[in-house]
Amino acid sequence: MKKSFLVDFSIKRPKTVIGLTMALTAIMMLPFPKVKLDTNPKNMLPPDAEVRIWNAEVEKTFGLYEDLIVVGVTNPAGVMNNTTLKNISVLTDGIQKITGVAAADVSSLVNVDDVSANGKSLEVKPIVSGLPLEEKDLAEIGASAIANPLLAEKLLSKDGKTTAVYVPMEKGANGKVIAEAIKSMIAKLPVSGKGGDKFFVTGDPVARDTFGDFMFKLMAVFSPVSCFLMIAAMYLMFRSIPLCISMMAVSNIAIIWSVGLVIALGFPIHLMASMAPVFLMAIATDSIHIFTEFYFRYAETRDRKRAILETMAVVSHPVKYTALTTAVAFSVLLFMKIIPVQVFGGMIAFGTIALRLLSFSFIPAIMALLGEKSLLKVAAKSQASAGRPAGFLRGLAMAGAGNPRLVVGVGLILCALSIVGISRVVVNNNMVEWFNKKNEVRIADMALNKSLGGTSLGYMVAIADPGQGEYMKTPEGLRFLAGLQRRLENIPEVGKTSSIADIASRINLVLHGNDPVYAGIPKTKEEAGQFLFLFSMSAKPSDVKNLVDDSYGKANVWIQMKTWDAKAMRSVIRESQAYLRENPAPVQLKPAGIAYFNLAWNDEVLYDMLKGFVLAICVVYSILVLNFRSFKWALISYVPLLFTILLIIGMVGFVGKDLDMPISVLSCLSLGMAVDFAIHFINRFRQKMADSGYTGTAAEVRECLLWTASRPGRGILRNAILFGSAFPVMMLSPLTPYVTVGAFIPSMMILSAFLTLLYLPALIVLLRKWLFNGQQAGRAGKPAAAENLSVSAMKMGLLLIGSIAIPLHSEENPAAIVKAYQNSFYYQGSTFRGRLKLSLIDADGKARTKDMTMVRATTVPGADQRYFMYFHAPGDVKGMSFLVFKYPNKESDRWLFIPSVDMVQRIAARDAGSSFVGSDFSYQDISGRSMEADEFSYVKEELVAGKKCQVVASVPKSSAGYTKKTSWIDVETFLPIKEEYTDVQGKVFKRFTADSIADLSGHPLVVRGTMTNLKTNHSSKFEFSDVAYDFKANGDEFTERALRNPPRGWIN
Amino acid sequence: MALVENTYDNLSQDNRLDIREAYATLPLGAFDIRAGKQIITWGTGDFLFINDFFPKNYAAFYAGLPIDHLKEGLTALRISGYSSAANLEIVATPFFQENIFPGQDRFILPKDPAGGLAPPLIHPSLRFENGEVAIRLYRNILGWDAGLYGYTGHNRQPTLQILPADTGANLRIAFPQIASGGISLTGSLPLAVINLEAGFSHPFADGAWKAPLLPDQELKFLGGLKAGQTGAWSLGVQYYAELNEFNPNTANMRSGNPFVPENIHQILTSSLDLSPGYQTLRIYCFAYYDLTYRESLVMPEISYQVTDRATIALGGRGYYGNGDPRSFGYYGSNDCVFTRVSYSI
Repeated sequence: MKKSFLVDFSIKRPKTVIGLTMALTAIMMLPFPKVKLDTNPKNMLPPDAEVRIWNAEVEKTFGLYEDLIVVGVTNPAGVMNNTTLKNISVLTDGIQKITGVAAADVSSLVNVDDVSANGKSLEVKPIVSGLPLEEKDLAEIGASAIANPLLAEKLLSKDGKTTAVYVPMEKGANGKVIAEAIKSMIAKLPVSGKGGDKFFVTGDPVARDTFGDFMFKLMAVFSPVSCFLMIAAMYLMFRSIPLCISMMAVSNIAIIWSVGLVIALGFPIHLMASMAPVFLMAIATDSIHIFTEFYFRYAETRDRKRAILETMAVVSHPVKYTALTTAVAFSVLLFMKIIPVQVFGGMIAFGTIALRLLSFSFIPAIMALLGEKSLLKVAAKSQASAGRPAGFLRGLAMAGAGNPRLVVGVGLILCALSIVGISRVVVNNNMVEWFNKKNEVRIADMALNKSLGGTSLGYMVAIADPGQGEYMKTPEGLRFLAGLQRRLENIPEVGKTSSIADIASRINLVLHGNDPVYAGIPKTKEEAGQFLFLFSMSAKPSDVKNLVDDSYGKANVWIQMKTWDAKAMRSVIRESQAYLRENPAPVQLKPAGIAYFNLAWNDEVLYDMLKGFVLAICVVYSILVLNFRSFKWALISYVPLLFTILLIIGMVGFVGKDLDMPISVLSCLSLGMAVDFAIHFINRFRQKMADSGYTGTAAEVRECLLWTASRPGRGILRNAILFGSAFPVMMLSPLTPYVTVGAFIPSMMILSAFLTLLYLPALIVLLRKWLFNGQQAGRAGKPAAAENLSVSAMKMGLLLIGSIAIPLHSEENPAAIVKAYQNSFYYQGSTFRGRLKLSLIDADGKARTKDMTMVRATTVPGADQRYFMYFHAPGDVKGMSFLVFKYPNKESDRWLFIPSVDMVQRIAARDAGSSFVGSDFSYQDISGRSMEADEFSYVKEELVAGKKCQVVASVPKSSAGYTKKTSWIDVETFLPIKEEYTDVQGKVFKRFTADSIADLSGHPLVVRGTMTNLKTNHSSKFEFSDVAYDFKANGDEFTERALRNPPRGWIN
Repeated sequence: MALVENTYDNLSQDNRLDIREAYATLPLGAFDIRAGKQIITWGTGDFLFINDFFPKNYAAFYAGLPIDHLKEGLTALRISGYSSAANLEIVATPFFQENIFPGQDRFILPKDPAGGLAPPLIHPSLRFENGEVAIRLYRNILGWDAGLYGYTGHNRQPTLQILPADTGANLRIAFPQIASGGISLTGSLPLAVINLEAGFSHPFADGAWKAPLLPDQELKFLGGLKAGQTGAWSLGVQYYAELNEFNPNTANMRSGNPFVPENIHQILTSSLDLSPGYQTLRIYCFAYYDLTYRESLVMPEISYQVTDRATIALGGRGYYGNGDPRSFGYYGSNDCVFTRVSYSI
């Protein structure tokens, strides 16, 4: 019997092991107070994600706000009465005072303007003013507002019973906090209007922030409840309280370790990471196999120590492999694009390895400490109760082994049905529907969507091609926009749309005395321009600015949708593109807005998870091959898992549930966990075959299958029952993603346990000849090599955990001049490429020359850059290349490629003062210094070489190889004409001169320059040639591949 | 491209023409395919190799040849794939290439410990099953260069194989098949570059032949720190540990054999690289301290670049210890001093 050092040690020194574990756990709790929560789903995408940048740009162009809260007001008797209007007025004033609200742009019935004609000019005045008003006037105002397409369905519903207050939020404000403030304001309103006013607070920020908040609170409730339920279920199985508690302790320790690690590494806890504890708790149940086997062995031997050692010897192999597959399936997520997904994957992978480490130390230690008396009791029970479940399990296996063709046939039919179901699956996501139907957020949303134009807001930005002038002022442009609106309004989910065309038609009508002949877009460009000008002169500036940019080259079509379905925005995008195809116009259409953002991030996460899923399938398969040392057995063990997933997703398709983010996350989870059953089953089965010396005759296979089903099968069943008992409680949650977790996990686990026990026997019997073909008896069950491999892999994992290093982790004028100098000297163009000849000339005039190509790309303007340098000569460095990632506020990352040994080496990072390839230039002279690294002072203005220069002195804040640098900066190009470096003695010791400045390719450049060391008389001269700017590259090309094989066109 | 080298050895008065590298590269979309004899370097260690599965030439190393001659070209097909998710490298070769060790012809070696017994040396035959595959998956994760490695093929170092008595006792020297794998991480700390590497290797059973001297499983770990200023100076330390676990069933075949490695083998290394001023003078020193076998090897070298093309160098290898045959002590009597003049065109 193979002994494991860890298990052995844990049995000999149980108290030491438990003490050490607890101490380590206490250490891992130290970072907890530093926890940063991030409840904002927006941060699932990094701030530099394309959609976030584009949305910010659209917001800037049109003066829009990122987030909008909508306060709906309904009154069954109509809102146009003095009391309701008074309430709205009080509310509007109050809301404007809340911090975080963009006060100037809060709009409601009491502060919005109406446009009417006054002869040939426009009159713009508030619709409602001077409350209280006569009944008659109120009715008239209401009627005219409903007739006004600029107001109808936005501020007043067609039936006059609903209105709304629109509350735009400043960037970064918390929607839930503002919503709470508004709600408390509503509660304080004095009296409700005739018939009773009802108020609803809704909008994307409310849903989003409420959801985030809810999720964390629910986690705090459900984790302990699930934990308690699992303990209860385990108690029923083993009747031993210390044992149940110790098993849950293992999962909690692993949770603390992984959460502690994530916090210590400085990552915020995102929504996704908040689910990790429940996942780890589920994964921890795998150790039930250890307990089940232990009690069997103990009942047989009555020797505790021997029972533990024997148990660990037979169970360790499958337990290790199940841990490995789970860890690997989740590690795959580390390679995904979205950072919270990476953190989540890393967290679970780490937690799983920690769990297994504990299984081989903490659990044996606990078992070694358990009282003999209680052990005997449980063991006796274990044997006595073996009858019933074992009978059932045997029955299940018999059904499979006895009628393999029938069972497999039924399976194939179910597969076919599932595929039909899968073909019906709709990929969608709806954040409001993450709340259940009774939730306030959802009720409010439904109420407002029923009568107003829709609470979900998207934009479609029309950008006129360059050279079209003020296209959005022309009748063609306006007609295009109006046509697009009508087209989009045909989509059932779209409520109201608004654009500059609405304003142009409205003014056209009003100025012509409401003559229906003039309903529609003005006929000529002059007329349209005049109308819009008139309107912009008299209305609130934001009324026009929100819809069109100052140059009338870009127009913004607002699209209000009545649902938060991601697919609604998808159809808006599709229809818009179709409209543009059918009605060609010199414009480009680009979606934006919060609805588009929701679509984009959902797609991104969904796609990432699916990609991870596929990748995990492949990686897990290779591990299975390694485990079984057989492609065939690996394939067989995959069947129950794939079948389960197929069945469940097929079911999702039939039930008509959308394939949303929670489901895609869970599918990924299931992969790492459901395959565990098959690993246990097949490993133990083959082990039994080998131990019995069987070679694979039908009778032998059958006997071993029945043994496997009734003994290790029991652990499988218990594991599934544990899941089944703990998770359904989540179905009571008010958040549908939890309901999904509560329903999905138990059904997946129970189904895969069932399928494992039914289908594996059927398949093994059916494919017996193929599976056992050519296998020598000795090799069949004891995959010695794989065993060792797995031990090594585990050990390596532990070593790794041990070795994961704790990451260590003016004057205005002169600074502005230096900033301009840096931009001009280091950041010219988005990319730059040039051949650089660098001559190193010693005091005797003897020269050496380095010939290289330098390629540069700026990834964050004014800050992050990537440099690539390739050496052409001299011979000893030919083919060497050099890659630098430069960051503004920390040391650069550098890699060197040495062609003679084909090696890419990361090299030491400090660059203050070190010489660039042996020249008088330092690395910082080549790629620039951080603005933060120096204090700047303005010296004077001076004429140097006929050029007017500003002289600025920079004094390094920390040691940099010189004490002061004086720069003469040309006021025209902002390039340095001369620079002098002063040493500690106050003497100038190094001087740079720009020998030639020219514009070779669109930007001024120091084409030739010299750096002279005045102490040694050594100098270095450089000369650029073949210069190009702004060629196509975005920083992604600066990789190890570039070092080995520079991209085409870089170095010739 | 090809790199051909002519060597003249005045001891044997041999003139030898070597093709160090000769390959063709074909870029194909996201893939670069390179076929031919090529030098490949993986892993992160300095003169300590865990995940570098490719052939080495220790004869050149102990003879004081330029350090890049420690790597031998491997005739192989190499496919490199690059994507934003991860980069992949697969090296496949049907030909087995062993490490080259110093031989009696040129080096002073201890008396044959096998006592005149000369078991036959069996090379793997050129068969499909004897081919080798090495895989490397790597990418940057949160600023760290991370790599995942795997290899199946033959051990590059020959080992003694014994056929147990009941199956007809016999001896031979062979290269058993092994599987290896590992991971590496390299990242920047504020003052230094840190590299961490771990790996395991494990031999497959070779029929009834037992390889008692080859650990049944070998776990290797390496941690290194290198501080310095780019191009000017660097100071490095490395710690390396090897955990060997032998098959208890072959214990009797090992008893008394002087070549049996310890279960734990630890090495420290240090390196100093100085290029003061204009980087024409380079002072380099690398030293191994074997903590387990109590011996050390120092490799100093000073080179001076006379012109862009001409460089002269003076260096050596110095050994201190008891000549333990399980480590470089085996070559301990080969202290050397060398000078080198090189001219590149």
